[in-house]
Amino acid sequence: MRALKLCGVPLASGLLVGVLVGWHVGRTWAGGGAVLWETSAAAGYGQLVLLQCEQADTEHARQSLLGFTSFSRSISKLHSAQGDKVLLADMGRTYLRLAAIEQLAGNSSLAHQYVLSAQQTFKRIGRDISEDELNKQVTKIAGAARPMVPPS
Amino acid sequence: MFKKAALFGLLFLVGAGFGSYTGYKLSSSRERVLEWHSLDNPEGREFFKTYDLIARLSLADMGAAARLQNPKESPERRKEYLNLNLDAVQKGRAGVTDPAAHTLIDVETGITYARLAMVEAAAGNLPASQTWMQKAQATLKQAGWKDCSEAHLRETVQALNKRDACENPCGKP
Repeated sequence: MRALKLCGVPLASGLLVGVLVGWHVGRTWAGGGAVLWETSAAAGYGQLVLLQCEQADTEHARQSLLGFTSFSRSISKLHSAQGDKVLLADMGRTYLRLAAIEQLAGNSSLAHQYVLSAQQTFKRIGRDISEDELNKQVTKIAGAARPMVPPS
Repeated sequence: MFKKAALFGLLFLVGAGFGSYTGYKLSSSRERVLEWHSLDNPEGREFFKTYDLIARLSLADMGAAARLQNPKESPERRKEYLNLNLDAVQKGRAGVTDPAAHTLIDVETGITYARLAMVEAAAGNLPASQTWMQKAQATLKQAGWKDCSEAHLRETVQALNKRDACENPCGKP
C-alpha cells in the first residue's frame, strides 16, 4: 500500500501537469496552424484573382471574382476565420470590382446589387460607407480598367 | 533518500510525458473539430480540397519566389523545387471540381512553367526554355490571359518573384 502511494503520487501529479501543458500546447499549435492555413488560402486565392483581373479577359476576371466571393463565404464559416476583418475587407473590394465589371458591361442593376453587397460586407467590419462613396470607388476601378477592355 | 527522490522524479517524468501526449492529442483534435464542424457536409468536404490546395500553393509560391530571387541557389535546385511544385499542383488539381478554382490552378501552373523557362534560359538550355515557355503560353491563354507574349510573361513573372519573395522574409538574401 505504501509502495503504491509512493509510486502513485508522483505519477498522478506528473500526469496532471502533463495533461495541462499538452492541452495548452496542442491548442496553441493547432489553433495557430489553422489560422496560418486560413490566411494562406485566403491570400493565395485573392492574389491569383487579382492577377486574373489584371491579365485576363472580362469573362475570366468575372468568373474568378465570383469564385472568390463563394470561397470567402465558405472560409468565413471556419472557426479560425472568426473575426478575420481582412477577409471581409477583401470580400467587399471584390464586390466593388464585380460592380465595376458590370458597370462597364452596361448591367447597371447588377452593378447596383454588388455595390449593396459591398456595403453590407463593409458594415460587418464596422465601416459604414455610403452608397455614393462606394459608387465613386466603382467608377474609379472602372476608369482604371477601361483602357484594358478591347473595343467592341 | 537519494534513490527515493530519483524514483519520484522518474515517475513524475513518465506521468508528465504520457499526460502531455494525451493532452496534446485531445486538444488538437478538439481544435480540428471546432474548425471544421460547420463544413461537415459533402459541399464542405469539396471546399476543403480547394482550400487545402490553395493554401499549399500559396506557401509553395513564396518558397519558389524566394529561391528564384536568391542568387546563392543553383539552377538545379531551382528546377527541382519548381518541378516539385508542378507535381503537387497537378496531383491536387485532379481532386478539385470547382471550375473557378481550376482556372486559378491553371494560372499557377502557367506561372510555374514560365519560371522553369526562365531558369532554363539562364542556364543556357534554350530548347528546354522554349518548350516550357510554349507550355506557359498555352496554359495561360486557356486561362483567359490577353497578352501571352514571351516578353510580357517574363516581365509578369519577374514582378511576381519580387513581390512573393518580399512577402517571405526568409527569401531575403
